[in-house]
Amino acid sequence: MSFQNLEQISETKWRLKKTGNMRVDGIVYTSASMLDDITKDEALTQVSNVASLPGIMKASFGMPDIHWGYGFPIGGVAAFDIDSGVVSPGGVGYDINCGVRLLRTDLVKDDISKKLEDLCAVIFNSVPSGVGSKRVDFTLKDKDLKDVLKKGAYWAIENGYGYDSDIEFIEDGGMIKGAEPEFVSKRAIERGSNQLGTVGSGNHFIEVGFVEEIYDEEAAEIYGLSLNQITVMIHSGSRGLGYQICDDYLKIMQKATAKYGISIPDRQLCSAPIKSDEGQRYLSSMACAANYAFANRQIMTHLIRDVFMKFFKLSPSTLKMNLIYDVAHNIAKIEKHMVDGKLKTVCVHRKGATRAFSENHNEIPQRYRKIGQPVLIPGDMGRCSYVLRGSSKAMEETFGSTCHGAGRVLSRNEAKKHGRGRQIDDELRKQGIIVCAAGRHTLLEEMPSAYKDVSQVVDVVHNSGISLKVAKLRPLAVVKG
Amino acid sequence: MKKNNKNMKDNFYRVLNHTADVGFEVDARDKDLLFIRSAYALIDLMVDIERIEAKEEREIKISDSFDLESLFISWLGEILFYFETKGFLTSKVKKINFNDGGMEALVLGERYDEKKHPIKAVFKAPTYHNLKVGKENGIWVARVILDV
Repeated sequence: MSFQNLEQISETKWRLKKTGNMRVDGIVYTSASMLDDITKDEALTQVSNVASLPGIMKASFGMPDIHWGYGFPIGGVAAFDIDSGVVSPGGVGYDINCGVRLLRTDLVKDDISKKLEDLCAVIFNSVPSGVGSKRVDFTLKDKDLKDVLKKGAYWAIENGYGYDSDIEFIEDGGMIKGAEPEFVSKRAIERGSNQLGTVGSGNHFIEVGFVEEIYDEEAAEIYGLSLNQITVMIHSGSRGLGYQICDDYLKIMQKATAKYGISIPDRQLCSAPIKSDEGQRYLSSMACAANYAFANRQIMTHLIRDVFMKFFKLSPSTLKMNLIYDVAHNIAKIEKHMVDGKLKTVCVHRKGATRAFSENHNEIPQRYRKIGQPVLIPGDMGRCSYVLRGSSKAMEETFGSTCHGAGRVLSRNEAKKHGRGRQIDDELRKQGIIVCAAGRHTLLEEMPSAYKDVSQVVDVVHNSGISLKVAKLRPLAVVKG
Repeated sequence: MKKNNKNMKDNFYRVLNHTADVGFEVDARDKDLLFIRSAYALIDLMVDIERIEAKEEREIKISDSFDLESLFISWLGEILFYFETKGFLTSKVKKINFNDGGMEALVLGERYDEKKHPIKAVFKAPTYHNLKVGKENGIWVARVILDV
């Protein structure tokens, strides 16, 4: 696909000039070498489609991990004026608050390198994963589940899943305000009743890794990271409850789009004015799903801490398995940002993108105020992941946002074709990475070469300054759904 | 959108390539058959539909759909909902009736058994992105992308 209105404006930035119904330009952060992958499918068309939505401010952004999604591109960021703008469930996605959290430990690589197979198996058996994974030990009653939707990770900690200190190190304190369970359908509640504390399937995972390289000593020290240290990354979201809320509101928004006379180029972009009844109810329900996802990752954190303590026979104070941070990848947030020299309230949609608030921001933990919030970027299971930090450049340019991962480059069918006859788990084992997976199809679809090289993606955001490299993590054991 | 003809299954659906997700295309002589084949395609992308026995009955009722596309998305959504919450796999649509803004259907199938029904893929939801449900050159066609 050729884009004649695409022009390079710096080493890491391309502009998709406003044409047709676009209200603003598209701005895509990438590199010359990754541009071909971006232009081969419909990702840039989706950037341009988002740019046509009412109230969009500054630009429709694409991060370097951008790829073709549904409605919004994955790796897309768009902020809308609170008064004249819209909110779109398709700009958040089905897996509301799909996100990542990172735990540190006082263990080092040598402590676990000979025990990886056993450790991986114990985690796999302790945290439900895979298709339709559900908890057999508890099903939440409606009343309790509604408490989860209101209180998020706070509910989990109140009920014994984690330390009080965890709360500070979760985006929004693990509890987005304004969540009203009364706006959530019975079906969503039903889907969520027995999936709390489960990984799910697809690209979700639990990964034990180690710190292989440090780029920013000061930031690493403040985050509590050191060379060869063992870390655990958890990637999961709001499970069936979030999917159902998205689905329910897509139906409501189809009607709202017509009611408010909003012109959209793709039905998955159906929207309502932020301040309309439909818009407010969606944001409230989305907050419920986001809180469920925070609680989900919090419960898994508790299960994993328990596994580590028993497996290594260590006390919590010796293991020091503390939470570094927890970030959302699929979310819409009401935030304040400077636009044309004025402080504006906007609704920032991050669809496969991460908040990257800078130093001195009052919404990040006190401990991190000097350097900016941690930004967690998972790669694929064979290469590496990164810890970055938020920056003032992100505040100036991208509504405090950056990339979220490697980004797919092969479709799932192509990946299966590439993987035919191959034993992906054996290949990874030869590289020193143990994988426990619930399904073989996931291993093929999620094989490393199905993704862009996350190092190239991270170099683009680092070189453009919208977030800065702190440390590189290398996987040792991966539990896949 | 590229069509992956190697993945044709009994000529009743074609897999559509999509970078992050998976899609399918179905055609049929009428709307009833289009909806039925689409349900079969959705299930067959998840597990081998031929391994599902028609043992149990379930009733599906949908009302208040905005238009045909929304009804279609709700229909596939119901099939997924029953799988995720009840472990029910649909293998046969016994009856299907459309009414004003909705539909009623009677489907047959059985409970998911991980040994009998190895999973090929799993989906979060059918999406409206590039959705087509309607007549093209006199033939009913459905094209849908599923969120993985």
